[in-house]
Amino acid sequence: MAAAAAEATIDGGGKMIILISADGKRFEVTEAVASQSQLISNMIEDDCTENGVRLPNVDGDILTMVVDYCNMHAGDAAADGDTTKASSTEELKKFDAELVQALENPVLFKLILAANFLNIKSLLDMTCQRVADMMSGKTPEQMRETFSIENDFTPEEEAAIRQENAWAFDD
Amino acid sequence: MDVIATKNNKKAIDRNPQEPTTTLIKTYKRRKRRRVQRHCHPGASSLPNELVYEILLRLPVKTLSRSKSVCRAWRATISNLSFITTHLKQQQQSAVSRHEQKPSFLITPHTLDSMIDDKEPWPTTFSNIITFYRWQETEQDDAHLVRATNLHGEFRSVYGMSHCDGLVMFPTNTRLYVFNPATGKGDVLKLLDGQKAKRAGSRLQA
Repeated sequence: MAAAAAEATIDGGGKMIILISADGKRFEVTEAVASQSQLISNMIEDDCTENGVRLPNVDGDILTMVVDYCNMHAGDAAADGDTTKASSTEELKKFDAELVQALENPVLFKLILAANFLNIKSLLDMTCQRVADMMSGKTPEQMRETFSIENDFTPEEEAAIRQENAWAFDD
Repeated sequence: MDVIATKNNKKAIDRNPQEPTTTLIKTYKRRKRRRVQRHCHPGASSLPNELVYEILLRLPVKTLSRSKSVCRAWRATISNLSFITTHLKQQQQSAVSRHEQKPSFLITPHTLDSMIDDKEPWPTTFSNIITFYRWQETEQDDAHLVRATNLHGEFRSVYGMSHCDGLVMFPTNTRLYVFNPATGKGDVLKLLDGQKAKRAGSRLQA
């Protein structure tokens, strides 16, 4: 998988493409960096990135984070020979941890939506995991708040379900 | 539902004798769709269902069980068999990929309440208190108690235990128990006589 991705990106690695956010901000990145997004990778293959790639679903501040992430992780997919550019595993771990730690809603959800839209699996995994980590220890009421969900149980039903899963409520 | 339908139908016939049935069906469908929409799009800052699904897949079992109380849609998703299977796979994968996660052992000691009679082919004085301990390489040398259940003299002998996907099967001379040490749930799978339980136990072990 990694080897195949490396081969695909090496020859086109030097070419630059421009990403345009919903609010018109422009980001210039190499094809190697951008093609970590499966969506853009497909567009590059179809040769339709000439005039820049418009991303109407992604705001500039979110796209900044995505581009930072992709720049940092470009070494992941690229050949291991290029040690100057590729970040070490240690550095990457630190970068990811710091990025994810700083995330709170609503930015976190926006980043998830962007990762999903752009189809960047590692970023989607990481951000979903962050939400999951944040949920442990929360009460159902707090979870409803996080996800803006309306409680549609009757009080009796809710009590019954709670009873059924009583072990999950004692900490 | 049937009774209501007939009632409504009658009213519909009174009001519009030409096409009573179609009116009824239309009303019902519209009402159903409206209800679904309200729960799927509760607010601007929320995620689409497929992404909520991705997050639920990453929750530990305890948080997941608590999440069942959030709303009907979540409870339905979490209780769905295909979700449960996918969640199990996801948890196993993430345990493997997280290098810091050391393998852990589930230990269930069998203790006898009194000495074995020499003439007995198999002891019949097994303690009815079932305990599960977890031991992990990272933790010093201690195994910690996960769960203990007292079955108050329901059986006398325990046969070979077996496990699969975190469930522990526990065959005894009276009943076949299935325990889930992660949730603390214990179910009597089937009432079998001692010989059958023993045979089922060894079959599963094989």
